[in-house]
Amino acid sequence: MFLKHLTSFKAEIRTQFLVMERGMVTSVLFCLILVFLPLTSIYANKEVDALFSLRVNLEDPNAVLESWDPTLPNPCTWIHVTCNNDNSVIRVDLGNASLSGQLVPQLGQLKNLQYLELYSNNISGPIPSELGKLKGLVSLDLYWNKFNAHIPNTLGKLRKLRFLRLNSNRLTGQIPMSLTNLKALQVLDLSNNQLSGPVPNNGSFSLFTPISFANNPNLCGPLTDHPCPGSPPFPPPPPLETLPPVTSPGLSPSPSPTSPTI
Amino acid sequence: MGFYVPFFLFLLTCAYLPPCSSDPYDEACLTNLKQSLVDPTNSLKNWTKATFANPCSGFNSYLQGATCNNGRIYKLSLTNLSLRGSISPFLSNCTNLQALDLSSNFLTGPIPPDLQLLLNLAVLNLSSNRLSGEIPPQLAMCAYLNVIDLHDNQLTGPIPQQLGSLVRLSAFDVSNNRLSGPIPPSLGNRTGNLPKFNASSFEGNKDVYGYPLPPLKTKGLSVMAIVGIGLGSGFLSLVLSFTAVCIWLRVTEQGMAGEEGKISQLMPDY
Repeated sequence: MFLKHLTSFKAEIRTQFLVMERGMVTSVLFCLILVFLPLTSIYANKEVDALFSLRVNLEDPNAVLESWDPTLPNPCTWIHVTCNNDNSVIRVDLGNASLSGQLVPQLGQLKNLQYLELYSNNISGPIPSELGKLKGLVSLDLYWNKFNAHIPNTLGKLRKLRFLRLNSNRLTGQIPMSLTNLKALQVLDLSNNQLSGPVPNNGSFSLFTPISFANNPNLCGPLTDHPCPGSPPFPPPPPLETLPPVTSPGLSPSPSPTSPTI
Repeated sequence: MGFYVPFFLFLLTCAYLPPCSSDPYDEACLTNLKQSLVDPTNSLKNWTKATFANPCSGFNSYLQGATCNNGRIYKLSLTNLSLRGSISPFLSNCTNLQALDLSSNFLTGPIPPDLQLLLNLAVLNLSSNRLSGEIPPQLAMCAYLNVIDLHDNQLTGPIPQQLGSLVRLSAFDVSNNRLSGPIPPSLGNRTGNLPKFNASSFEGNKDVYGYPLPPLKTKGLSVMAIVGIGLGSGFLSLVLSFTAVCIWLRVTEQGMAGEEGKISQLMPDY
């Protein structure tokens, strides 16, 4: 009789233990979820915050940013935004969208951004130097806007950049020498701005010709039509045999084959 | 008739969208290039007259192998497409062209000197074709050339020394052709900070010589050969005269022996 009580007591304790264990496990799990869920949403929110700050700073008469809802956990369902498999933004495609206003430094928080397409709008203000943080950036297209101030030298840190098109803006200042470090650069267009100073021709810039720098009246050096102040005038081209002239269709004047600037 | 309606619609839409631009020079360039090339495997997709009128929409291109920049053809890459025919001189109308790659095809004919009008050309790769004729020295007018790659063709004539004046030239390959003459020092023995080209850029041309290729074996006889021939012929004449004397001696011996034989025959047997 006593034995019966003992075994039933043991069974009760065992079940109590099991229930307690289950309870502990579930409460621990619950705590973990409580701790980590906000963290995941905070991470996603950083990209939501960054892009929403951009939306707030831009004027959008055509309501192209209407789907940019900041209450969503990530921006991957927003129109004109593309994400990767980890729900992180890789493309922002807002070309030709009649946007005006200015960009925001928070764009530097889009850690996985590869394509920033903001061309053909009316966006003004400076190019944020925080864009230099976008280590994965492949294409930066800000052409045909009203960007002013200098080209940030932080853009020289964008190791994977292949396309840098800042043409047809109101950019001033010199072309940062750091841009010649961009080894992956295939296409460069800085034409139609108000840049000044010497045009670099070393590093990755050895591939670029006058069309990349055209219509910047204050640029100087061998790729332009006037030498930089303080440097000697262009030496005469090396003597070539007189070759029969071929009539050209009357385009840009031929550059003189000069020695590199020191 | 049905062909023209979408064409006109295409033109109309282009009139309203800023990035869409047609360029008569690029159109002439592409039309002529398509005519001079022969495309037996039909690899040049979309290379039709309608597309030539408007090959670019801003930075995108409708033509296979073409890349655009600001509405102009910026790069042509038609490599390994079994193309035959020749390179049209009117390719020079693509004045914004920065890179031309027609490598690994079966192109024949010369490299047109009109390419000198491609003032923005930075990369020229015509390797692995069947191009003939000489390398035009006029290529030196393309002052921004970084790469000249003409290897594996049937080019003849000299390596133009004018190409040494290209200050941005960092890659140069004319190997495996039928070129002749000396390697100009401005290309073979570059001074200062200019990148140097080694023998592999020039080899495979039987009649090309000069630094950095190893010295050619001179035609004609060397001093050792002359001494050797002299000694050999002296020795040979010695041997010949010795054998002649031996033979003469043998003959006279035989003659004397014959006479002795006659005498022994005259003697009666006992």
